[in-house]
Amino acid sequence: MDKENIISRREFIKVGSIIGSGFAIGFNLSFAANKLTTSNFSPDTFINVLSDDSIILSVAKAEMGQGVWTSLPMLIAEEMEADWDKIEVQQVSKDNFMGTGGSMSIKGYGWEKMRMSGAIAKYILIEAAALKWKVSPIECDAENSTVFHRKSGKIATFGSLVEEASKIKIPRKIKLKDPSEFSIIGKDMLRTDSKMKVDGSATFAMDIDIEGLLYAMVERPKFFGATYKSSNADLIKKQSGIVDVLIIPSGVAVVGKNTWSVIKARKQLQVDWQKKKHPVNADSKIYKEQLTNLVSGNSSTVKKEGNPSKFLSKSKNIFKSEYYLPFQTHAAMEPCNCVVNVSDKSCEIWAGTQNPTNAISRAANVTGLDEEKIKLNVTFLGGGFGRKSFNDFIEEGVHISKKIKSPIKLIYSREDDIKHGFARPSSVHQLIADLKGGDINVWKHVVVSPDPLTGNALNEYGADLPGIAKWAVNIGVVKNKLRNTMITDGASEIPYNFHHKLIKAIPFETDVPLGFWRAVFNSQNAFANECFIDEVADQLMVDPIELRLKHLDYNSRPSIVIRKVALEAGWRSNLASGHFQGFAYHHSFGTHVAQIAEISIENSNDLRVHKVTCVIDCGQTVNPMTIRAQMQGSIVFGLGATVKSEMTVKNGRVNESNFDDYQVLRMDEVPEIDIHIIKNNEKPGGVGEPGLPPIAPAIANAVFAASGKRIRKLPIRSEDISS
Amino acid sequence: MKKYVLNINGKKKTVSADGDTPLLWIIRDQLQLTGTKFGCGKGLCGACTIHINGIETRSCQTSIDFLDLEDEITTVEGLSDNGTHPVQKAWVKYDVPQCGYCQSGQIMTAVGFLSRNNKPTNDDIDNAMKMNICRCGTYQRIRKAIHSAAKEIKNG
Repeated sequence: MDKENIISRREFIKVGSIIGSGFAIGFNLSFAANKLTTSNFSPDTFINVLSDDSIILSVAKAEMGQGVWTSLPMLIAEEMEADWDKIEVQQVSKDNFMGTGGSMSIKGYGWEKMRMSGAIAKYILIEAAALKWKVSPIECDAENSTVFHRKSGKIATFGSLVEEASKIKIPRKIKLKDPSEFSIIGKDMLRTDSKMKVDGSATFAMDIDIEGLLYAMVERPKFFGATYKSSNADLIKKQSGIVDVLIIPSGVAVVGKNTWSVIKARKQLQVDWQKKKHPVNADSKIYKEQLTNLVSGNSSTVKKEGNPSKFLSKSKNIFKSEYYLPFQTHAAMEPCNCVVNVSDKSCEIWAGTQNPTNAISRAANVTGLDEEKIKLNVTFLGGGFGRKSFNDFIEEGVHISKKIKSPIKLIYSREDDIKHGFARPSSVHQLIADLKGGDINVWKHVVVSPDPLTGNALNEYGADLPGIAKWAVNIGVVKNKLRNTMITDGASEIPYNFHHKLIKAIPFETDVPLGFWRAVFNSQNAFANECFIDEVADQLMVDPIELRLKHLDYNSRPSIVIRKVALEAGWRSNLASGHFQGFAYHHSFGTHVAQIAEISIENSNDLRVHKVTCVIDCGQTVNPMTIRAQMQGSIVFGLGATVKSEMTVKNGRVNESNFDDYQVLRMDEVPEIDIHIIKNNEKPGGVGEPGLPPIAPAIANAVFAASGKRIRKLPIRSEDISS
Repeated sequence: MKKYVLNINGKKKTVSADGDTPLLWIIRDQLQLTGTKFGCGKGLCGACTIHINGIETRSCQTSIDFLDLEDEITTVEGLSDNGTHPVQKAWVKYDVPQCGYCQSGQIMTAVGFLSRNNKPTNDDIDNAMKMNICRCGTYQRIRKAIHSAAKEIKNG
């Protein structure tokens, strides 16, 4: 409890405020922070304490809706004893950012660093007051943005202490609060960015306007891996409002004086593409056949517990099932876009990116400029969900601005967004159990899937890996291990204590561009795990929740969330006539989530989802309002992929193009969502993604309860339920 | 290119454009009222919703030529001074926005629909709002915020 945290001089720095009169604590939230040496320490996040009492937090984390503009400042305010109403947040505009993804904002970085920085600021202000009053700092305390001296009752606001604070050094050790002392962390706090998001003033990259701005769109190859052959570009150049038509590595860029001229001219653009001779598994039908054919073939063992092979070969009671999941795309509301201004000496970019470090390195590669000359302004993101971890759109923008020697705004149409994204891989899962003695004796899960690291994404995302790692993932052995670990994420670490477990991976090749989709492989593997255990329960004629609980320690975190959700949802008791429930649980990103879906099937094949009860244990909570929003959002996003959305490919191209054929969940399809948060002091887990994986199996299991039909592929279509 | 005089957010603005230009791009590129968003270009998502004479309209599907001189255009920026419309206030109170990109459109649709129905049921809300997509999944809070705003509007 009284443990003191050692402060490394390489982690925190005190400087003059980067905004106004006052001082700032700078620190670095980026991946590379622990490798930094004092000489190149470059903070990316600052707490600015200003003489007018305001505290301005410059955050390096991109706000894409996940609430970091609210939750990270809460961590600082808590330790700093700052008045919450005096804290403002702004996106730091520097060239050293970090990626936003993998539900890491609080889990990975924010928790300790943000709290320590707040505690350091408080220490400095108390020391400053003590110096001013010529008393011992031990006699002083901070509260509500003031420092007070207990004996004399002297009091000073934070703002009045900034001058003395300049004389105080960062301490070597700092004590953080015990969770029992928290007054902000764990409380419901309204978002700090709502007001600007309801009056139209929040600035997304799409909204940036600078002097002399031209507008651009890119016609990209119709087929995966195709290259440019010829076009009627010369004719298009003459269209009204068009400035130029440029050939760039990824396609043909139409540049004009306003967006509408570009959209119209692009409709007249005709391009001949050189198709790739032998596209690899770039047709949904062939792809699915190939995946399914492979599932019983050679595989690599990722995890083995006990002696699964022995029992499986001898088993008299094998139970087996296969599951198929389709491609999904992200379809964030803000299509990819950026504003770029390249000159001979510099390059300035405005973009909503989840991976700023990589954006800078790509811009440096294209322009030939040093990375220090690339200025990246990360704006609000109109949704990310993983798509904006890939900076292909920024690279295109840099190419165009460099060639045309003018600032440009590159916009994706919705069709560009859906046809030229980086899809969640489509996968097949084979689950096998040995049901010796009326229980699960052996659990085997074979995953067949391509993965985003071995194909295009190695080059896309690889630039963000340190040099050695980039080199290493190209070595066969390392690459295979990485790939196998990745595709079994969410399959290999299930908490159920079966005696024998075997988790295997079978790699797959495809030309379909792949990426990271919300919850990554957990979305596929949770569907397979949790549908299969439901099938086994039916086979063994036991309650599906009872079967899971039987294989968990009673006081373990999974058991607690599962029992809680059963209680809150009134598991299979007192349901309205015609209503049925399905259950699923999954652990990902350090967080446990259990959900019960209540559905009915109208007119024999019309699936209606009435209610989802969700229990989450993400350890120590920061802002419960954010957690509830993220659970609602994950359930809505995941439910769309369960009952509506599907991306398909044919002849080496994506079939879908807009919200008419890539359908997402709408208001009238959203169930009542009831969320319960477990309170404990465990390490904080992620909240942006773990709410998604359980929803699909919970719905599928409810469909079985209602209709007796097993759902083994997604999305669920009416023909899959009709009797 | 033709000259047009627009009556937008209570002000007269002169713009030059081809007659087939959707209002969306006039509003965003020329008038710099960037609260109105581009989402799909086909009238499928509702991110570009504005009001023409108080009626919610997809600005990506409405050519400038289609307007009459006296038509009153309202964008989210013209809804209130300082974000004080009951719908905007309810959005903040119920912590509705996440990424925020779709919210101008959601708000414009809600305001238009509440002007005709100040005592909506959940079904009324679903029917009115189902043409507006939110990928962050803020729908449940939108529903709550609309009920709350309806009460405030009704009580004046």
